[in-house]
Parts: sequence; C-alpha cells; structure tokens
Amino acid sequence: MTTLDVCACKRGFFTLRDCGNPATTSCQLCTRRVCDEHLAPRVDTRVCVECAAKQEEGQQPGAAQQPGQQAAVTGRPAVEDEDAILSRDYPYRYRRRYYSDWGYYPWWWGTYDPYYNDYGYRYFDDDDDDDGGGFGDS
Amino acid sequence: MSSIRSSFRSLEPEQQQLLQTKQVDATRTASDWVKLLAPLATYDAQADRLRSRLLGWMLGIGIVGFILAIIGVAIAPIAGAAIAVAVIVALVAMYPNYRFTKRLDVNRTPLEFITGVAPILREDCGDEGSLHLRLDMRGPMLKEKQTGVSQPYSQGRYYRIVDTYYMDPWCAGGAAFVDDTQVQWIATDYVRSQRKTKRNPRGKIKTKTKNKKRTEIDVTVTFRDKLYDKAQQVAGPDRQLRKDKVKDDESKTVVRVRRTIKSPSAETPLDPRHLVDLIAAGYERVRPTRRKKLVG
Repeated sequence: MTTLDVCACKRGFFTLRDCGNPATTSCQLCTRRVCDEHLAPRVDTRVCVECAAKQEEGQQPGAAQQPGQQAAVTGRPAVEDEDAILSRDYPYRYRRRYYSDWGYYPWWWGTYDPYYNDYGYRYFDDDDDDDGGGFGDS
Repeated sequence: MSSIRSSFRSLEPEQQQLLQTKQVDATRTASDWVKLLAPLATYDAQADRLRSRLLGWMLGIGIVGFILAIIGVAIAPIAGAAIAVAVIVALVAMYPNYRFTKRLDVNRTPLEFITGVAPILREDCGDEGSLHLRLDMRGPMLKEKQTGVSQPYSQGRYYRIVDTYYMDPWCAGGAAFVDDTQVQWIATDYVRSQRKTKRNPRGKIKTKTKNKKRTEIDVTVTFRDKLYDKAQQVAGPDRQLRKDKVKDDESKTVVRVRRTIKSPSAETPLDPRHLVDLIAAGYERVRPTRRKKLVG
C-alpha cells in the first residue's frame, strides 16, 4: 500500500483544510510530518507552527482565560515588523488564540487528525453515515 | 533630520507615490499588500516622531529667541538684532523638514488595520489568492468628507458650540476564499468634531476642540449553495452585531452583518479583530451541505 507523504498541518482560519504540500521533515514535538512552510522559525529545532502556537499559549496561562484582551492575547506583531507579520507562524498563533478566546469553531474540510481534537471544529454531519464521523473522502 | 529624507528615498517608487496620493485601489495577494504597506507604516511612525520634535524645537526656539531678542535690544541693539537673525535662520533651517514630513503624513489606521488582517485572510484565500483593497489614508477631517455643520448652540459654561460631522470610508475590500466564499467589507468612520468656546472666570475666551469617532464595519459574506446553506440557528456566541441579515437564494446564501465601534478620539486605531469577528459571524450562520475535502 502506498501512502502519500503530505504535510499534516491544516491551512485556513475560518475553515480548516489539508495543506497538501509534500512533507519534508517531522515535528520534534508532535512527530507529525510537515512541509517547510509549516515549520516554525526556530533555531536548531524542528517544530511545526501548530506546536509552536501551543507552546506560546502554554507560556501565557492567563491569556486563554481572559477574553477581551486584544493585542496582548493575540500576540500581533508590531505593524513595522514586516518579517514578523509575514512569518508563517503568526496566523497560526493568532488562530489558536482566537478560537479559544473568542469562541469560534471553524468548519472542517480536511482529513481527520486527532491532533486537532481540542479545536472544537464543526463538520458536515450526515445522519445516514454509518461510521458516525464526518471525515473521509468526499 | 536628513535620515527622514533618506528613509523616504529608500522606499519603492510605488510606496513614495502612495505617500503623496494617500489613496490606493488595487488587487494583489495578501503578502504583496503587507510588503507594500508595512514599510509605509514604519516610515510614517518615524516621520511623526520627527515632526513632533521639530515642532517642539521650533516653538521653543521661537519663544525663547523672541524673549532674548527683546532683552538684547534693551541692553545692546546689535546683540538683540543678532539674536533675532539667529532665531530666524534656525527656524528657516528647520521648517523645510517639518513641511516635508507634514506633506507626506498619512493616517496610519488603514495601514495598521490591513497589515494585521491580511495574513489572516491569506490563510483562507490561499497564497496566490487575490485581495482587492481600496484604502484612503488622508484621514477623516477633510472638507470633502464633511457631511454637515450644526448651528451654534450653548451648553453649560460653553456659550458657543459648533459640531462638524465627517464621514470617511477609509477601507473597502474583497476576497475570494478557497471554499468559493466571497467576502466584502467596508469600514467607515463617522467623526464629530466639537468646537467649544467659553469665557473663564478671569474673562478670557477659551476654545477647545474635541473629536469623537464611531466606526462602522459592514461585511457581506456570500456562500455558494454547493457547499453551504443557511443554518437553522446561529452556532456561535453573541458577536455584538448592529445588523444581522441572512438571505437564502437559489444558488447562494448571503450574510450581511455590521458592527459599530465607538472611539474616544479620531486617532484611535481599529483592531483588525473586528473584521475577523464579522467574517466568523458569517460562517456561524451557515452549515455545510455536503462532505468535501479541500486541499492547498
């Protein structure tokens, strides 16, 4: 059986979908296969942008419980810092904090991955579906 | 002071032109918009700081120089004249830079708003997805944006108050997401500038101007029936919407939402999260009609 080695990260903000890029390495935290685009800008470690966002959220334990705080919670970089704004991990940090602080559940249009179970996403729920999920090939 | 001119010269020609025209209406990718606008925000912040310093120096030199010149003339006319000439030379030397930064000053709110929201939208547009933007960085308090002036009235100790109203649609845009959803928005500032005049207990006439701003963001999210349909109930928290309309057509579902944000002053920046909230509100009013995998 042949399996495609594709990136396990999910793109999107309001909806989540598969990345689709070929995977080039593995995240040292979650061991998922990820592409270069979804590697967080770190020195000497390989961490995916999702784990990096989780780490940053974990470093500020009070942030997730205090909805309403704006720039401090979302960690938005200064507008003059073009590199930080364009860096790949910024939308993922923002996404993680936004979901938890502002109660948004994205629509899921990707392949099932238990890594995202804490996201609280929504998906098409077909009542006639025997496997009871919302995941699988369309 | 020469660094501000070299900072300006280091900008791309298109960026330099943007600082002069202060308006843009174009379609680019989200990354290109950030690359275009982020350096402008940096330059404008630097220019604002320099202009504040220059104004302080010019006022200080003018006032102190005037006093010294008066004293100098009283003691030795030639010394007084020399001081006056030195003050004039200093002011003439500083004024061109002040005027340079003033002429190229832009309202930073649109820049900060778009550079905050463009990377978020890029995630749903795709890397090559286009983002159409119309930005007006001239600021709200222009004659052409004036919508009305009140008749003078009195209130409390202020015997003459005149309100001037402005309307400034400073940001309009549109994006197409990979799930075939179309998003359009417009952010409009409504500013009331209140000029109040009173006479203080010593009989002096005092005038002050206070500005208050209300921002309305209108978002229209159009969902194709191929993937989405109107939901039976809203699947999300109260997003504090001023308007909330869902229209279900044969081929599409259109959600129109609006939020109003009150600000204490006309310079208060707008948090990009408001636009994100409104688009999220749109997605909370629909449900998928089929199972599908979207990639890339």
